[in-house]
Amino acid sequence: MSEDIREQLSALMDGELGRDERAFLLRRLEHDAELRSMWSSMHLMRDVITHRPGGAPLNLADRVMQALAEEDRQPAPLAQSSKSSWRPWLGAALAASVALVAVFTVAPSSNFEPDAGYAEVAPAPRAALPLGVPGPIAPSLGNLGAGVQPVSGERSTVINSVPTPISAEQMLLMRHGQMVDGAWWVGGTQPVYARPDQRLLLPVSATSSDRP
Amino acid sequence: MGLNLRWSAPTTRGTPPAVRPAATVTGVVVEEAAIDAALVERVQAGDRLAFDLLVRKYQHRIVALIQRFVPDWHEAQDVAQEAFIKAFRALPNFRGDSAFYTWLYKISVNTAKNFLVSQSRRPPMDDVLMDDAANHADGRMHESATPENEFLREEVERTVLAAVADLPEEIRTALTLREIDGLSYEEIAQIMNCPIGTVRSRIFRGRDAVDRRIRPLVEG
Repeated sequence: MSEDIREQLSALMDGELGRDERAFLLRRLEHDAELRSMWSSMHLMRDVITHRPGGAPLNLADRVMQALAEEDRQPAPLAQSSKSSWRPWLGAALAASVALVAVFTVAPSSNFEPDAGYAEVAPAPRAALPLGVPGPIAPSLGNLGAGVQPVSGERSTVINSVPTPISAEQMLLMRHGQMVDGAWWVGGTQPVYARPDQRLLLPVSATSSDRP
Repeated sequence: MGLNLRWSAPTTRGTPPAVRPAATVTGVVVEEAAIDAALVERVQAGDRLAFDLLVRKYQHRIVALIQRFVPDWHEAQDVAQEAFIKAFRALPNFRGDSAFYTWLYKISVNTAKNFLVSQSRRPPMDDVLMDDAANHADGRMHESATPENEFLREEVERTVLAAVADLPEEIRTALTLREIDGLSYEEIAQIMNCPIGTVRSRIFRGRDAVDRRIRPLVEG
C-alpha cells in the first residue's frame, strides 16, 4: 500500500478528496483489506481524540459482513415460502372483499334516480331472490368479483357511491348465501330478479381522477 | 487521561482561532455526511463493501451507544451487529432525508430497546439524547464490562493520546486543528501559512504515526 494511497485515505476521512479521486479510492478499498483496516484504525483514533464514546477496538465489521453473507446462503425461511404460497389467493380474497363491499354499498335503493349523470351497472336483485331454488354452488374465489361491473372499469367508483343501509330482507338473503351481484349465486340455476328491467344506476362522476 | 490535546496558540505563523467557528463545524458535518452519502449510494448500487466501511467508521460509537441500554459488552456487540444488519436491510429505502448516522442511531436505539424487551428487561423510559449519545465522554467501565475489555480500551486511549503528544509540533498542530477544531484544509493552510497540500500531508503523517502505534492493539 503506497503512501500516496494512504494519504488519500486520510483526505477521504476529511471530505477533502475530489469526486473522481473519491470514487477511485472507494473502488480501491473494495479490494484492499489493509486499507480498510487503516480506515478503521483512523476512525478509532478520531473517536478517542474527540472524546467520543468508544470502547475497546472492535472487529464488528467482519462479524456483520459474515452474518450478511450467511443470511444470503441460507434458504428462504418457511414463513416466507408459505407467504408466497398464499399470495395467489390474496388477489381472489381482495376481489371477494371488494365484491362484498360493493354489494353492501350499491344495494338497490330509491336514492338513485335516473339521470344523465349516471351510468348503468349490474342489475341488482332485491325482492325476488327465491330461497331454495336449486342451482350451482358458489363459483371459485377467483370469480367472486366478476359480477361487479364498475363504471368505466373503476371498482372504486362503486365503492365511492353513497352507501345504503342494509335492510332486514338483505340480511336474510346474505345469511342464505343469496346476496348476489348477478354473478355469485348460490341456490338457483341463474339469478332471478324481481323485475328483469331492474337496473341500478351509479354516478359516473366518481372516476379515478377524482381520487387523491 | 491527563493529556490535553486542545490546540493552543502555535509557535508557528498565523493567528489561531479564538473559538471553534460554528460555520466550520457545520462544514465538517456536511463533509462527513457527503462521505456517508457517497458510501450509502454505493451500497444501494450493490457494493456491499461500502457498507463495511460504514460499519468500520461507526462501530465504536454504536457499541458505546448501545452499552447505555445494554451494559454487557458481549451483548452490546451482538445488539450492535443486529442493528447494523437491520440498517443494511433497510438501506435500499434510505432516501437521505436525514444524515446516515442519525438514521443509524435510531435503528440502534430501537434494536437495543427491543433486545431489552425480548429479555424481559425494562428499557429506559426516556431516550438517550442524540448529542448526549453521540458526544458523551463517559466511556468508563460499565458494571458488566470485562476488565480485559476495559483495560484494552484504556490502553488504546492512552496510546492514541501519547502518540499525538509525541508528534512533531507542526504535524500535531495540523492534526488537532482538523480533529478537534474541525477546520478545513484550506482554513488550516491559512492559519499555518502553508499550502493546502502541505496540510494534507501533515495530517496524514500524524495519523499514520498514530496508526502505527495503535495497530498492534487493534489487531491484537
